[in-house]
Amino acid sequence: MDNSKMITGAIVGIVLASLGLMAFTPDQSPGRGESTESTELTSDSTTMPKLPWIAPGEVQFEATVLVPTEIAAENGKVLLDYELATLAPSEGTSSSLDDESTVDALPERWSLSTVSGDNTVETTGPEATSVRFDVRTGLQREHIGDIRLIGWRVAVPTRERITLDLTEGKSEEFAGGTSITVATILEQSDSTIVLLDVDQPHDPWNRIEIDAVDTGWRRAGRLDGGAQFVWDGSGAPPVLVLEQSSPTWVPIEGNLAVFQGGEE
Amino acid sequence: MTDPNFETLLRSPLDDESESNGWGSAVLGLVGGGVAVVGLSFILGLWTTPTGATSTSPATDTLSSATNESVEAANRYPDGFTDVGGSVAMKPVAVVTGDTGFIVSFATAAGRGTDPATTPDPLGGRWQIESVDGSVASTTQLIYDRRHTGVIGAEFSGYPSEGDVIRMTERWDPGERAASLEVPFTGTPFSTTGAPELDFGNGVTLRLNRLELGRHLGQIAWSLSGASRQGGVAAFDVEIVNNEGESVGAYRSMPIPREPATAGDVGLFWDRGFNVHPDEGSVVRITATVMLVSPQSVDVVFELDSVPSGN
Repeated sequence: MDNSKMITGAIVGIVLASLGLMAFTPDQSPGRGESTESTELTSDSTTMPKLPWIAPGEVQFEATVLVPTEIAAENGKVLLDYELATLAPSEGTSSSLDDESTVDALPERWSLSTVSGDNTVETTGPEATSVRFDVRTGLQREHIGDIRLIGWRVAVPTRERITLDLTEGKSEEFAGGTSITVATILEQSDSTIVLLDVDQPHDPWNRIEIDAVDTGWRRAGRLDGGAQFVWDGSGAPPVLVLEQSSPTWVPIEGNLAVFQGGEE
Repeated sequence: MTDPNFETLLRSPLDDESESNGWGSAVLGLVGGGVAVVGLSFILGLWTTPTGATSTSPATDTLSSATNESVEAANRYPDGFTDVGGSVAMKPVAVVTGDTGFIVSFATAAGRGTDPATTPDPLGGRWQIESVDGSVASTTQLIYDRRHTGVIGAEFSGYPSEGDVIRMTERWDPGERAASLEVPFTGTPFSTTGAPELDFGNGVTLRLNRLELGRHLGQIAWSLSGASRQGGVAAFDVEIVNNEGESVGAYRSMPIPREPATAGDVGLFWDRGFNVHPDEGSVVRITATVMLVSPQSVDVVFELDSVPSGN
């Protein structure tokens, strides 16, 4: 055996293997949604296979895909319309039967930069399907440097119960600050109707829904700022155990390019 | 001292070939060096996913196939998600700490090339938290949100510490079963006598402990036997049929939970218009659709340190 050739070969092997690993090792940079993330979707087609269910120009955050549908600039405004889709599986569960199913993450904070260096930040709520930026009058679409999604919220399932004494005026509060008050109790011949006042903090991201734990209590409808429960027959219990199982929406910071503009 | 004859005797045909072309030792060194670097890299943990989650799927036989599978796995799911089998991947997206415990929220995503709407959504799983001091604790409960497909909250007692990891040890696949039965209808208000059972086969039965029907509303109390310890998710369609076999009206159970159970109590709501008073009917047809939990063993570790906190 020629030891010098073997040593030379080993050195070359180490170098080649190291280069290979550097090329294929996934990005481990700290933080989520670094600025390169979305540009890979649109421009780095040579190293990352395209994901058929995330098309070029679409932006993935968590299991949500944001699909820009239109961008317009006029009268000092830039408007970006978008749709949201989910990558979450849904076959075989009740959610596939539920029209109210929604995505697990929602956009919240956006930035628009112009090619001349101006920067604008906007915030959208959970129901939004568009974001509007106030920009200088006369700014055209080609003046937009980029639009980025810099923050979103993720759903964290939570569950909390309170026990409400069925006495008019009695009140209990959930941890998030939503207060439930027994407004009216109507004793009928064949049922008991309880009207509740629901006082929620003014936070569009934390709108809770309540339901009775005892299924003998039937929620009879949604009232503006309240709720109504009915106990059919006699023997309504003296307490109403309520459960809120709405998600807590946790803010996440990120930096994903949604739109890359042109030259001024 | 070395006898030249001995060297000749001990020399193999490969030795001759190596010496004749002069590059055998170089090739051996090249391969050996490459294998050494890759092996060392794996040992040092360089090959992790972007979120730090590490899948402990079986090792592959050759270096090249291991590398290819890793690259393919990394691209099979969206950024940050880790393959948990069953054609789905999961990601811990946030931690919310409460007074007595904390919830790790997992999002689920379907794999590349699959339609999320036709990919089975796991009914849950088994997770445990492992601390650097070696302690291990299971979840205190799983929390579901029926409006957010694929989102599961794994709640643990106490508070997370630096270096904690979450290990997923089971994935609960859904297996759909349906069965129907008919009972005589005697008009509203109606309640079943006895506890009729629906047979799903393989020893799995659903007992109707109580069925009550009113003019537009009703209620079912049910229990499963013969299923896995986690049970399943049950939904009900109840139809009232007259003597001619025509449908008089129907009810449907609402809301449909995502959380599997071995027993439940669910309300029934008028599903479609009653053309005539339900008392015109003579038979109640009950159809139960159950997503039975089929536990599948997995072994996937998620690092917790990098998961955003939502306190």
